[in-house]
Formats: sequence, C-alpha cells, structure tokens
Amino acid sequence: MAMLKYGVRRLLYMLLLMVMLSVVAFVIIQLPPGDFLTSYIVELQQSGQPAAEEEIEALRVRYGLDKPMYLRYLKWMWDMIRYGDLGMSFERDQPVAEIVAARLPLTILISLLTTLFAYGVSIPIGIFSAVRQYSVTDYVVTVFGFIGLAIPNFLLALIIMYILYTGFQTDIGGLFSPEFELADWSWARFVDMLKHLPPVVIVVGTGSTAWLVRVMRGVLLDELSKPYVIAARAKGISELRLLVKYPVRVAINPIISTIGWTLPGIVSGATITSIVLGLPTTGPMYLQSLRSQDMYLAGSFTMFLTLLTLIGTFISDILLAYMDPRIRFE
Amino acid sequence: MSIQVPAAADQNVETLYAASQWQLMWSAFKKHRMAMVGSFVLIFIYLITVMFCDLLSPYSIEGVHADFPYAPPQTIRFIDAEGRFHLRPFVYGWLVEEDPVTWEDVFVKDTEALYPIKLGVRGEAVKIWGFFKTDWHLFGVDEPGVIFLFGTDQLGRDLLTRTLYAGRISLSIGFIGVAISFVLGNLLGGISGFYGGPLDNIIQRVIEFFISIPTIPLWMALAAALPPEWPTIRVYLGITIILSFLGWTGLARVVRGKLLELREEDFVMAAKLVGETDLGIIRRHLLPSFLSYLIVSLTLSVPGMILGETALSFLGLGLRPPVVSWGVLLSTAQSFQTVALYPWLFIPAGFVIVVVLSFNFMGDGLRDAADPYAQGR
Amino acid sequence: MTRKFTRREVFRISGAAATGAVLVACGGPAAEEPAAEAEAPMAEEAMADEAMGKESPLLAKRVAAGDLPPVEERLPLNPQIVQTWHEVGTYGGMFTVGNPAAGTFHSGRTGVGQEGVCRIGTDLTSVVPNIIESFNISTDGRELTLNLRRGTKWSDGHPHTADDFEFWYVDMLNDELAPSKPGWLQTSGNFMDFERVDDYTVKFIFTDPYPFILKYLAHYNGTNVVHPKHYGQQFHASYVDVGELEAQAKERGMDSWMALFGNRARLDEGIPENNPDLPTLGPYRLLEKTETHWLFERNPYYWKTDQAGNQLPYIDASFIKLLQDREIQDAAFISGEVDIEFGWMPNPSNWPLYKSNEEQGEYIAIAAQNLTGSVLHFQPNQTYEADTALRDIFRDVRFRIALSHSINRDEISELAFFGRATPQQATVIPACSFYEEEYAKLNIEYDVGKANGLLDEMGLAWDANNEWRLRPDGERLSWTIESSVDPQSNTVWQLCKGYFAAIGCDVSVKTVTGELISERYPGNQVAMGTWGADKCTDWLFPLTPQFWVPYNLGWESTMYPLWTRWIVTDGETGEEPPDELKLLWDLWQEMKVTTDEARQVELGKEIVRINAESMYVIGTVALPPHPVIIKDNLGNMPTIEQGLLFGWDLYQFYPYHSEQLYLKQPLHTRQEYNA
Repeated sequence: MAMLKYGVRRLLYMLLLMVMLSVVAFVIIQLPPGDFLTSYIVELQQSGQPAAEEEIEALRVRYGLDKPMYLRYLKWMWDMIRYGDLGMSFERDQPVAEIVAARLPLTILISLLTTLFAYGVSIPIGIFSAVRQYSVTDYVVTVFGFIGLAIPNFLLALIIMYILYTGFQTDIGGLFSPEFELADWSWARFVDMLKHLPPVVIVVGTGSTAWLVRVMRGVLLDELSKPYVIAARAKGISELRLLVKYPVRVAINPIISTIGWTLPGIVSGATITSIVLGLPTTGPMYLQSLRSQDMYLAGSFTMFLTLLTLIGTFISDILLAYMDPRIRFE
Repeated sequence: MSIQVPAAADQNVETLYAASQWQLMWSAFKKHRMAMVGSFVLIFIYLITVMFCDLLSPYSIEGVHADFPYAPPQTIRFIDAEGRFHLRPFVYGWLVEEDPVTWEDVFVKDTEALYPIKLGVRGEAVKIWGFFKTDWHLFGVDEPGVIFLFGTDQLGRDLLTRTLYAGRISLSIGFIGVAISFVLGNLLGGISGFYGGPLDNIIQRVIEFFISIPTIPLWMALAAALPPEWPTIRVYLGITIILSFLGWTGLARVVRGKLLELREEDFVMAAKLVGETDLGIIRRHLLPSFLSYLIVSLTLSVPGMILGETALSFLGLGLRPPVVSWGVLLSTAQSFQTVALYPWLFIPAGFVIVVVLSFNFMGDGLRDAADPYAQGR
Repeated sequence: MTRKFTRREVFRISGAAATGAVLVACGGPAAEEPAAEAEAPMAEEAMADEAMGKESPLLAKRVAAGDLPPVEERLPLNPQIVQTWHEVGTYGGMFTVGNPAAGTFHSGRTGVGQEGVCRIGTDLTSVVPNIIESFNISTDGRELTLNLRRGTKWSDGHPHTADDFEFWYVDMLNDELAPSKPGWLQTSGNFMDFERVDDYTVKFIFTDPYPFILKYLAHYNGTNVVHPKHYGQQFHASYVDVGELEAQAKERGMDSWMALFGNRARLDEGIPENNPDLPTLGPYRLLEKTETHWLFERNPYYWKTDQAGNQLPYIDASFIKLLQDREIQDAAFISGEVDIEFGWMPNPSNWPLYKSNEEQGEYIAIAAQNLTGSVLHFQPNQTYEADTALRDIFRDVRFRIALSHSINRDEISELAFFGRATPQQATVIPACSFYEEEYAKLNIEYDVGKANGLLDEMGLAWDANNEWRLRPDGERLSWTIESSVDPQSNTVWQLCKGYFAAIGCDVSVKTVTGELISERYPGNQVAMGTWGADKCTDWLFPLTPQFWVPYNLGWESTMYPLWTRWIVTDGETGEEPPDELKLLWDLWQEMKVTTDEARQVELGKEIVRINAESMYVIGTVALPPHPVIIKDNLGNMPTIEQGLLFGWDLYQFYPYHSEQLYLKQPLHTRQEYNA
C-alpha cells in the first residue's frame, strides 16, 4: 500500500515536471541565434548554392518561424496533445514520428545488446576482482578496465574501423554488406547484420563496462569487510553463498539506482560511435536536428528523451525501494 | 600519571594510536604500489605541462615549419650510421621529397647531417605563463637542424610542443567544474539523505528536473548564448561552470542513497542517543563511511572531464583551434588519413590514457586507504 | 579488393543472370569531338530517325510483357542527342553515389541527373537548350521564346507541354506559394510576364532587356521551372477544394495545403525528392527513400539518346548512399563503395589517402580544378562602427595593401594544397572573360619589408617591445576575424594569423557557427570576415558579384555592410558610401541590361579593376585541386584534358551529362540490378 501511494505521488510529480521540461526543452533548442532557415542557408552556401531571399521568406512564413516563440510552443504542444502529432521535420520534410520510428528499432537493438554486454561482462568481473583483491587477475582486469575507460570512444571506433578495413577488408560503415543493403529482410540478411554488430557493441560497451567494473569492485570491497560478512564467514557459510546472499545484493544498489538512467541512453544511442561508424541510429539524427535547429524534430526528440529519463528515474526509485526495504517512504 | 612500559616499543604504539585518520590513510596509501606510481606519473605530467611547458618545449606553439609538414617523429640516437658512439645524443636531419603520385612529402633520414641535442638553446620566442618573454628552451638543436621528437602536423608545427601546451589546458580547465559539482553534490545530497522529509522531496524533484535535460542541446544552447565577443577558452570555461551547476545531480543522488542507508545503522542511532549534533554525526560517523565512494567518484570525474572535453571537441562543441587542448589535437587528427599515414598525431591520446589511468590508480589507492575496515588486510 | 558473391546472396535477382550485360550497340569509341550539341542548338534532327528502337534490356522486357509502349513511342520526335565523351556504352547495372546524410543534396546529383530548361554546353561557355528544343531572344532583349521538344513525356508517360510551364508561372508562383517573387525573374523590380503561345511554345517577357535570363535558365534556377501539371494539380488549391487538401495535409502531419503541395508535387531541381509518384523529366525516378539510402530507377520515357540512337541513361538504377560523417565518407571512397564522387565530400588534404588506396578500392582519384577565385579571402569591414579607430585604419588602402603583401601565398599553396593552387587576389579566374592578369596579380608578392614600410608610413608605430603595432590612439593594433569556414581553410587562416603577426597586427581568429555568422555579418558586428570566393567565372560573376559589388547584405560578405544597406535600401538606412561604391553598383546595373557583349566585358573588367586597386577583399590562392573519385569500371567519364572542372559555377556535373556514364563489365555485386 505504501508502495502504491509512493508510486502514485511520484507519477503526479512526473507530470508536472514534464510540462516544465517541455518549456525548457523548447527554449533551449531555440536559444542559439538564427533558426532552421539560417542553418539551411548556411548549408546551401557551404555547398556553393545560393539562397534566394524571397524563397527563404516564403519558407519562414510557411514554417511559422515568423511567429513568436510562445505561439510556436503552444501550437506544438496543442498538436501533440490534441492529435498526437509531433510536427514536421523542416529539414527532411517528413513527419517527426516517421523519422524517429525508422531509426528506433536498430537503436534499441544496439543499445540493448551493448547494455547486456556491459552488465554481463562487468558484474562477474567486478565481483571476481573484488574477491581476489590485489591478485594478478585483479591487476590485469583493473588495467584493462581503466584503458577501456581512458580511450576516447571516437578514437577507438576509428581505429577498429581501420583495422577491419585493412586487416579484414570488411565493409566499413553501416550494418549491412552491399549485397544485403537493398534486400528484403531474410535470415541471411539478419546473419549479415549480426556479423557487423560486434565492433559496435565493443566500442559502445567498453566505456560503460569499465565503469561498472570499477563501481562493482569498489562497493563490494566496502561490503566484504563489514562485520556481518565476517560473522557469516565465521559461521562457515560457503563463500559463494555468502557472497551472493548479502554483499552482492547490497553492492548492486548503486548500479540499480542508475539503471533507470540508461533508458534515455538506450534510445538516443551511442551518438559519437554511431557517427564514426556511420550507423543509422537516432543519435546522429538528433545531433543533426539540433545543429540545423530543426525545431520540431529536435524538440520532440528532446521531450522523448526527457520523458524516458523521468520514467527511468521513477523505475530506479521503485526498484531501489523494493530491493532495499530499509529505505522508508514517508 | 604515567604508565611504566619499555620506552621504545611504547613510543611506537603511542604514535600509531594517536594517528589521525589522514595519517592512517597515508600509510595505507603508501602500500598501494600502483597508486603511488600513478601519483608520481601525475605529478610528473603536471610539472611538464601545466608548470613548465613553456621551457620544456623546443619550439613555440604556433611555430610553423613550412618545410616539414607531417614530419614523422625523430629518434634520439647515440650511435651513428657508421656505428660510432657519440656521448652527446643527436638526431639526424631530414631529406624531403615529394611523391609524384600521392603528392605526399616523403621524409628520409639524412645520415650525413648529425645535429647534437644541446641544453639551454635560444630559439623561437615564447612567453612563460603568458607573461615573461624568453627565447630560452631547455633543449634543441642548432639551425638548420630540427628536432621533432613527436613529429609535426600539417603546418609543420612541433607536436611535442603542442602536446605539452595542450596538457596545460586539458589538465586545468575541467577542475573548476569538478570542484563545483563535488561540493554541491555532497552538500545537497547530504542534506537530502540525512534529513529526509519535505526537504528531501524538494531536492529530489530539483535533481530530476536537472537530470532530465539532455546535455547536448543544453551545451549547444549555452555555447551559442554566451557573448560572441568572448574568446573560445572563456566560453568553454563559462559553460563548464554552468554545467557543473547542473552536473552535481548524479553525485547527490548517490550520496543521498548512501546516507539513507547509513542513518539506519546502529552506530548512528547510538550517536544520536549520546547527543551528538547533526553536523557531528555527519562529520564523524557518516562521512568516513562513504568517503571511499566519494573519492572514487572524484578521481573518476576528473578523467571524465578530460574525456568529456575530447568528446565535445569531436562533436565540434568543445574548445576550438586556435586554442589547443588534447581534445582539440585529437579531434583535428581524427581521420582515416591520420590513422593510415600520420599515426604519430595520436600521441596526445597516449597522454590522455596515461593521465586517466593514473587518476584511476590513485583513486583506487585512496579508496582502499580510506576504507575504514581495510586495516590490516 | 574483389567482392565475391554467391548466387544466393545476389539481391533482387530474378532468375536471369545476364543483368543487363547485353551489348546493345557496337559503335566503338566515338571519333568526333564531343561538342556536337553545344554548337548547334537546333541541328539535332539528323540522327533522329535511327535513334528509335534501342533501349535497355530491362525496358525491352517490360515492352514485351506489354507493360510499356515501344521505345519509339516513348521518345520525343526529336530526342536530344548526347555525343558521348569516349564510346557508346552498354546498358545495365546500378551505380552507387554517395551523399552526406545530413544537409543538401549535392554529391548525389551526379547520380540522378540534372535537367533544366537550358544547360551549360560541353564547351563550358555556351548556353544550349536542354528540355526545350530551342530558344530565341528578341532583338530588344526583352522577350525570350522557348520552343518545346514535341513528344517529350514525363516519367509516367504523360506528355510534357506548355501546360507545365504555365502551371509553374500561374499556380506555383502565385501569391500563396510565392509571396515574394524570385529576384532572377525580375527586371527593375518588375516580375516577368508569361505568355503561352501554343502547346509547344511559351514566352518570358521582361520590362527591360535581360540577357542574363539565359544564364539563369542554364544553371540551377533553370532546373526548377518545369513541374508536372497533370499530377501536381491534385494538390493545388486552384484545382481542388482547399478544405479537402487541408484535411490531407493534417493526415500527413503538415500544417497547410502549401506544405502538402511542396512535399507531394514540387520537383526539387527536377528531382522528386519525397514522392515516388511524382513524375520527373530526369533520367531517374525515385523508387524508395530510407534513412540510409535512396533508390532511383531509370525513367523509361527519358528523352535523350546517344549518338548511335540508344535511349539513355545506360545505367538502370542509381543508389544514393547516405554517408553520415567525414570518416565514413572517406571510408566509402577508399574502399571503392561509390562509383563516382563529384561533390564536396572529398577533402583536398586527403589526396595522399585517396591516391594510396586506389588499387585496393579499384578506383582512380583525379584532381579537377576547383573553380574558386580565392579559397579564403579577408574582408576588412570598412563600416565597422564598434571601433571607429580600427575602421579608419581599415579604410586606408595602404593598410589593405600591406596586409596583402604580408601573406606568403606560395607557402599557403604548399602547405594546404600540395603547391598546386594559384596565388592571386580574390577575383575572377583566368578562364573568365573579365580576367586581367595585371589585376589578379596586383600586390600579391610576399614582401614583409614593403608591408612594414606602408604601415610605418601610415604612422602605426611599434610598441616598446617591438612586438605589436600601436594605433593612433595608443592601443595595440588588434582585431578578431570571425569565420565559419571548414577545417581545410582553417589551415589557411592559421597561417595568415602568423603572417599578420609578423607585421605587428595582433589578429585572433574565432570559429563560430554559420548561424551566428548569418546574423553578425549583415548586422555589421564583425571587424573582419573571411569566406571562399567562388562565383568567379562567366557563369556566376555577372549574376551574383557578391564580393565585388555592394550586391546584398549577404551571409558571406562583410566588407561594407552599412554602405551596402544604403544602396539596397535606396538611401533609407545605412551610411552613404563613397562614390566608388556607387560606381560599382551602377556598373553592375548597366551590365545586367546590356545586350552588347563587348560592352559587358568592358563593364565587368571595370568592376574587377576597381576592386583590384581598392582591395576591398584580400585574396590568398585560387583554383586548388579538388579530388574526384571514379571507379575503374565506370565508363564515359570526361577527363581533365577534355575539360573536367569542378565547382558550383558549372553547377557541378551539369555540362558533362551524367546519363551517359555506364558500367563496364563485369559488374560488382553492388552494381547488379534487376528490377
């Protein structure tokens, strides 16, 4: 009951926050000088093309960019609430929902695989490394983990891409071999895609894996030296049982409290890696929409991410409360 | 009143028992070999970059050497082509030729031209700390010889020089941000976790609000909103500070979680019953308990800042040339062409990795040292 | 790197292994010079008869199946004949062309063809008819008559007639879709008149003589004139109930019927960018568009043939691969993923990379001259109000000459362009008829002594440390250059910063976003600007002399914003310019209405002379090499010797007829196509 009440109250807060954040998101996107059309003009000019002023003016009226910001905001919100319409992308001349939907499945797939990879690898390694503190394995894991943390992602992506290209003559960029690029979905195409995934998962996963190993090891070490562990050990409980029963559960806490935050990350994809590896995920799209001030696309996606963050935080809190009954709710 | 015990042994026991927590930590820290190595490496890198890059660099940071674009790194030698040993180390000169097909400048060692490395030479004018003008460099070679130990970039600028100067920026600029986040995170997270109730509720909602604003658009908006007259470096500093005002949230949440958990512990209850003040409880009982976590988080956030700067430079949102940081050096180098033909331009990445590694090892050592239960292990 | 593929893997293969591998014509290498069509706009009938009946096997199959009328009925009575650059090609396959994933469609243009009313002839100097059969300008220069090519059909088989021109003028340039009329269709502020003479003849009528109209029609603007009325009218409020259209628009997530019309019925440079159903006159029509690629298939009704009478294009399909980032783009080039890259994606600095991977990627990189008058030039702001002391220094021509002498142009060429760019002022290029070597080479010698002499003469003394120069008011002579140019030019300005420092000018350079520039340049907020100077050929210099005439308050120039504002607003705002600026404006106004070519050249040269002597813009180097990537088995690519040049001034590949490119056998996996 307490749990339910807690949940409902949190939900109400979330709604309020959403409204506030939608304003903030909209303002932030429009904070840089100019608008989509000035970006468009610059874009045209950089490819040598002139921009006819009268054409630009006509577009400005058509896109409603001549109206003040609060009107644009209200229109955007109204359409969203009334029709579930996220607006049009100026740059692509396509509804926002369509663009995002086209990129989302792949993004989620990559992110889920990466997250699974990161958690699957890091938690056991973290535990092992904590239990065998200062062993050779601990040092090796530590060094590799730190190196994983220390290499800038784009560099790692670039180098892996180059090695794949020169060493294995793999196609670089994208997720499919040329012969499958236009093919309909089939088993062979799926397999082909799987072959292109490992470098992506590795590049995206290394950073977070290394981080998780560090946190896991750190917190677990704290726990292991606590009296109750020593007492339990003295009672002769098997080492594995002892480990899993309490310290690991406690040590996972900080990780759990941030697991919800991976939600927006899952949807926004690993932006930098996606850019370097040329993956059609949402990350590069989002960045581009921000750069070109593609108002509705950038705004709607920002809102989407925001919503997910809120949901993520919510999940984290609920999980935390559930996992650790010592946390009271008042 | 004195207790009669053998003097020498007792002295030892006495000092050990009187040791403050910091002394205990220091003695534990010293035992952590990797942490010690990491600390020394950090001190060394700070000295050669932040402190003395002006004097250690053989050239000036913008010094263009038009005859040597993309020169590969030179090797310091003691033995020449004929097998003779030289007491004074030297470098060979370069013979430069253009490849007729790829138009690339091809560098061939000129074994005829030996340039001994000299200490304390006069060269391109620099300003120490931006104030004192000098042309004194710690080492160099005589004209027309050149010394590019890390090679050069497209304009023939010495990469060693640029790496050292870039380190000055990279290693100092993010710290303000980290410091602000750290203080705010601890303070607000602490209040929230310790007092709970409505105060906690408010702080938590504020955190949620900040946390939900995606960073990239925020960064872009701020970068564009700061006065355009500002030089790039001040803009960057400004944004770092603003973001750190927003960036304390992660730490605050963890601190709160940890405190929520700790305040239910028996020893806190005991302290309360004894009549300790809140501040006293936090300082004497709670803080030490999660100091280890704070230290890990702090030592991780410094390299995080350095890496963050490289990532932002990559996205074109961070520092921009002509300001030089490691991120700027790497993002201007990040191209297929560099990987394939001029790999030495990635040397700054080595510095980033070493610094991040060292910070982590140091943090690791601090963590272990700060762990109140770790004694005797 | 040879790509192996198994039968199973070949996509969309429909049984027959011979994917377009049929040699249709055996004309062999063409002996004639490929300029036939350039010389005689109207002499194309000769080969028309034998042009019938030769088509891609892909289409022949459809004809046999009864899905398509025979080729003779699909071609116009008088198809345009393209004299191929090398030989008669073979049909079949699909070629891959890259385009940046974000941003405008530029590199991809080569892959889908460019078709306008007129085009730039293969001699690169004449205007020749393209979609139309011929044109005629009245003696007073006010009336342009266009004669359409009879029997030309849209890609859906519907005849193309004067309706399509009328639709554009009447319905698409109406007050709703075009609240203000395009400047290029106006003379002295009057919008042109349009007359439909008959089904195959239309007239453009202007209030003043307007010789430039032909140049416009042969360039980018000419590709946006013809739109399919029979299809487009179903989305237009003049033909359909507005309410109904608005409802449709809502359904598609759009605000208004205008947006719906733009999305569904407007060809963008002749290309159906969003709607596969929208008919086109181009060689390819859109099949599908995804987040990673666009797929185009040949237009069965295309109205051009080669000299042997084979219907063009040779290649059956075009795959536009969207490449997200510079690295991915380079990776695609060096791994041979794209068959042709003739756009802005390759970076000249990466020439060694492109060249050293040729064998592995099975392509060749050639260096075409980039038609720019100065890769980067400096624009000291003569009307900079924020710092009048600085402005007054900028206004002294000796100062601008001193800056020019301080620049080491050979070093710039050497370090940024492998020594292959031409040192000159920011002015027209040698191939332009307004070019005078004397003006282009004025004050370009690297002479620090002379530069210092001029500054000393101006009384700009050195400071105590002999480091920087001081202004008359005692402050250090320093200013900020704001620029949004790409990293390639960054190399150049980083060098220039050093050159200026050597003569005591403390210049800081700031890269800012293009959006900011587009506010600050016209807003007179920048002390000194920089930009690349294209529009320096006969094609665009007379139309848009952005850097040499107070032409507009543009986003790429900030030499004298207040003076320009005074001129374009007829003295209402801004600051009255000196007579020289007014003269520049008048010269250009006269140029626009002059039909006498000799007089045109005279006027153009005068503009160039004044600019050279007053040096409002300070140039660096011109005509740098630009890498073009061509796959080994792509046929009929013009060579440098045949006049291959690169630049917006020629509207990229426009003069070279990309529809004649063909794939030599055997095809790669990627190049196979069988619908």
